[in-house]
Amino acid sequence: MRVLIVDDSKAMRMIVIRNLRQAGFGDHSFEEASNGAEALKLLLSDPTDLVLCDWNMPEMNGIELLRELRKADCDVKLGFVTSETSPEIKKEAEEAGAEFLICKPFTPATLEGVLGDLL
Amino acid sequence: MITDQELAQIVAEFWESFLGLSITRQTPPEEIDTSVWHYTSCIHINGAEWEGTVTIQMGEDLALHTASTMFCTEDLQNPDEIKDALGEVINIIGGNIKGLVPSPCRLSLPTVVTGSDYRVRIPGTSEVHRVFFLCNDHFFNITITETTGRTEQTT
Repeated sequence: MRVLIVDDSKAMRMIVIRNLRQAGFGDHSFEEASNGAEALKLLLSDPTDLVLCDWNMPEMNGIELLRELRKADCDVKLGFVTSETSPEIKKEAEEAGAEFLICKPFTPATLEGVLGDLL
Repeated sequence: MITDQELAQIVAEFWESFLGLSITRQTPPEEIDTSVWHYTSCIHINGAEWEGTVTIQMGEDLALHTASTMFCTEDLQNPDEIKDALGEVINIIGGNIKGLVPSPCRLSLPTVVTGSDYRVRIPGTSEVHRVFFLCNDHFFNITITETTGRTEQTT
């Protein structure tokens, strides 16, 4: 499966991929994008199975990306990996169609538990 | 509002469980040489009921060690990668602190400043928490300032 990691921090993209491998998802293919706008271009041109997306990013944030994807009839599965975990954010994510919301900091076990049915 | 203990717990959880680096909380040194804080990373929390800034300051050695741990390399050369890592550190800590202040509120993008012999001042705010930690024999501190007059903030 093709998984896209969207985060403006290169360090965090590496940490997410490292944790995914440690969680047993190392057989999948990982792609990276540094903001929502870059991810949108990639997602509308290349088929992707799952998106793990940060919330706060420059240019286009995570929730804007999800809304743009749905507007473009792209139904790729997308969830958030973010330090933004207030009830309002969770509600906003759910209403926009997010699959999950993982709180930073996380562990490989967290990823395994949340993503086990998706990957 | 958040306590020193909650702040220390958030920082310790991030540093120890996420980075795998051991830290201990310290009493503030009697004399602080601010010229050693080569890296300052800060993030703003802007809410209807509360507004403030969370700042972390550390020296070059610890910044390099922290970033190297995050990038999982012993040979980190690019200063932008250190800034990237420290921006993410304050983003995660700030996000967790945001969860403890009254909703609704928003988190800004992080700002990272580098240099020597400088001071960070956030006009219109007062310091409400400053907690010191020791990691690998290097001090770092986390500060929370609260906006007092709800005026425009600058760093």
